[in-house]
Amino acid sequence: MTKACTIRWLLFGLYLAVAGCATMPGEDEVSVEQERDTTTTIEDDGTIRHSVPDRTVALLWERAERARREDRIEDAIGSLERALQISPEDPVLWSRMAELQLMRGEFAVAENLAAKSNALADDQRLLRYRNWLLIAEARKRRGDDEGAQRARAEAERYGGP
Amino acid sequence: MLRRARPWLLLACGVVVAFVAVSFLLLDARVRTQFGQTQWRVPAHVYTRALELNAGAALSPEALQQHLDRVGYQAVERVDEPGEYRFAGERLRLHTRAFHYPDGPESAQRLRVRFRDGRIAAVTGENGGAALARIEPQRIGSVFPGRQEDRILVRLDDVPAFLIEGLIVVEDRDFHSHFGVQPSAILRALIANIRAGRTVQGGSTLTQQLVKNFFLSDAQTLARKFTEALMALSLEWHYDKDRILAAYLNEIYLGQDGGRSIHGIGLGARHWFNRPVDELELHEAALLIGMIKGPSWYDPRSHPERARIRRDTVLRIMAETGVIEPARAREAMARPLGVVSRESVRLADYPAYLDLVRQQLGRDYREQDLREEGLRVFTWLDPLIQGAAEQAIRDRPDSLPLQPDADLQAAAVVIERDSGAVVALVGDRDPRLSGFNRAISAHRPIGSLIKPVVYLTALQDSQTRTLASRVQDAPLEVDLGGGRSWIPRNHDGEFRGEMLLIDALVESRNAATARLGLELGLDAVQQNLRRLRVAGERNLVPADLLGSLSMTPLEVTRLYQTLAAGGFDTPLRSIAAVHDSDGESLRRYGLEVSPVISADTAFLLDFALEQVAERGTGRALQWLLPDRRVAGKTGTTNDLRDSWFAGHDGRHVATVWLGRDDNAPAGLSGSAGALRVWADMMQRIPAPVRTPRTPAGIEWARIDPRSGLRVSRHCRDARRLPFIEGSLPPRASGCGESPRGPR
Repeated sequence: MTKACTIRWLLFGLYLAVAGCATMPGEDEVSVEQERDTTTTIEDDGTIRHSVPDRTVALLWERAERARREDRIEDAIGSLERALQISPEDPVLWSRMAELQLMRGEFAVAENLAAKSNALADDQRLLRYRNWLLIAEARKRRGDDEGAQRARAEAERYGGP
Repeated sequence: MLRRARPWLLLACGVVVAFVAVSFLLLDARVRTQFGQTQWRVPAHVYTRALELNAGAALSPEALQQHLDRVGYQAVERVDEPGEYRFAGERLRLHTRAFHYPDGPESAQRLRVRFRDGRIAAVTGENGGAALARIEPQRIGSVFPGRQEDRILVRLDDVPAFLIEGLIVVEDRDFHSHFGVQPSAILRALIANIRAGRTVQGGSTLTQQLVKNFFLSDAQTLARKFTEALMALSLEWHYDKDRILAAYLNEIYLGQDGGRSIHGIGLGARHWFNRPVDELELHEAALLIGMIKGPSWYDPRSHPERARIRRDTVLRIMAETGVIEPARAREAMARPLGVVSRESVRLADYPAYLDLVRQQLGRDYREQDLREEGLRVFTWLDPLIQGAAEQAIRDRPDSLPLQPDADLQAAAVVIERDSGAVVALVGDRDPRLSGFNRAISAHRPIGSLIKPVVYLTALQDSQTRTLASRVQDAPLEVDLGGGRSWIPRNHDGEFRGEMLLIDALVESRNAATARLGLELGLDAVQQNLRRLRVAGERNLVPADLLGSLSMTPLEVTRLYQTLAAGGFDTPLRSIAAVHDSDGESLRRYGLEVSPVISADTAFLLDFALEQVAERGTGRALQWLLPDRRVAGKTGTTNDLRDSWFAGHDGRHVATVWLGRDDNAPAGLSGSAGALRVWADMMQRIPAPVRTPRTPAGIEWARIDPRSGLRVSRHCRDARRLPFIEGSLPPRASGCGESPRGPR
């Protein structure tokens, strides 16, 4: 991961934070501050706001984020799976799941989960951008540089920060 | 003379010793591999999924109470302890129990739950804030990982002491001291048998009996006795007495239920007394012990008096040997046999689902992972949805226009669309019966259920075909060579001529589909079946385009899952997690999906399948399930032998099959049979909240249904259809053949 790319992630995180402020009134909103770790890549997304119409999903998301920060990846996956049982069409949950699988080194699984998130993301450009970057990273780590390049180009289509 | 014979004698002895030694080694290896792999003392407990209590969930107070009762919560006046609850109208106070869930341990908590209109309105914790809460899953049975059979396994700890001690004093008094065989007992039996001139006594130890049951045939030959003895020695050499005793208890033959043998004390207790083994009373245990000597001779349903005498003999021996007080023996002798009628026996709550669990345990988990004690298998089984499926399968067929005397069978599978979690599975009209499990084992021709795959193949190249393309529903004869030909016919015996591609699917036109499939090529269709992970071994033949190929209901569900989930295939999973006794997760199989069809093409197809339910062969759903948007397809096979419906409501994908085991006509089409059951089942499952979603690469246009050309929205009869970007048909001048005017 180049320095430029890391910076891009950080900027992107900031952007998501801003974008996430526009939640629907009455919806639960979970804000999770994340410590920054400059040595890793995908995790460096600063603050993510995820607005969900379901309180239980909000609580589960919070729990998953806590587990993720404490490096309890399996627990985080468990909570997200539980959240997905309730809200299976929430693209942010799928995207986060992809990210966790990437952290576990399950690159193919991560790529497919990010693709699923894209399929549900409708016009959420930022989420799509983020998913394509996840896919690029998964492909790169699998040794598919060409595929990663294509995914990055795809990400650019959605603007980015 | 003796001196001359000695070398021969030595040689003979040497040969015998070598033979015995080699035999022992060979048998020893067999004992260790076969017996060592089995874990008689460690059945894994199987659980349903937990019940999530989330605000907004469709869950009535009655349904929740049902679950609480099933998992053993007590209704009380004042809720103090974990495992207690109190309902007051639409309000519930609840003290949950601590439980180690698949995703981690959770402590007990006090909750208040409020309901409104059959849904949970709010769940609050002790501090008054919203709480994350669930009720622990129900234990539904035990499986023995690695062996595919229906058996209720018990641990030694579950078996009452009087049963174990009684068994030993009756069957093998020196069990704890011998080393597998007992020469004195054999000698005693031999003398008694010679005196009587027939076999009146067996000298077998429990270990030998186990060997006989576990490894050998029933033949009474000397060679078999020899093998039995060597294997018994080997067993005792490698395994401790408790392990052997537990295996014995789980293996022992205790009678016959039609074509099924009753093996094991767990199944025996259930079959004869409809009780779990730990609830057996003394007189019942004594009868089971007595029956070991001759399960059909002492069958208490056919020969109650004979069985009673035998039971009392056992009780007397138990009293004489000090296992029980004489007074208790007398008391037990005064009791009736206590055997229940065959009809009232419920072997397991969800036998069909447990079959699937067994199958997937064997497939997804390595055997060495499953050897540990105290495994807990968490499944996706949802008791509420399973209940809905069972009720629909049991009740609905009674009101169908069946042929007289038709012995109708049925199967159903319900999964979650996006996760592939199998939430319900029924394999028999009587869901409590175990035996042939049609949901996972009946391979039946799928009829028109195959058609979406043909149309998928057509729609994959959007530049060539769209939903508005025109196809020919016209007579067709395919030369199969060797003087044979195939002539597909439509179910109404008519041919509609030129029609829109979407209509050919919606109205399930055979001739049009066959023509289309042959144009696309059987290879292309086959390739898609492979992509959808349901292709069989053989190459497709033309008749397969109309569904002469066979699948199980579970396979059909997987096929429709991918179509329903935007082209993402996901393995159908019954197991959420397997934990060892410390709550540590063994290999975990989490959520996995893979895109196998483009989301845009899947969307077009799903739109067409929605139209099937709206105005096509599934239109009965409009009044059977009025408030639900569903998509699906009917399937019927030749002479109305199989009746299918597969479809989804945005949350669950479900398949129903009806037919007869002897493959005789059941007299039901897909829409007259399976569809009704499907609708009944879905009616009982809460409807999901659905947001219509159109993929980014889709655009909509109004189409003239005759010409397939694009027209303005002011044209009457024009249909609004989805297209993959860049594939819109050309514009018609004016309204094409559609009349102009308000729609």
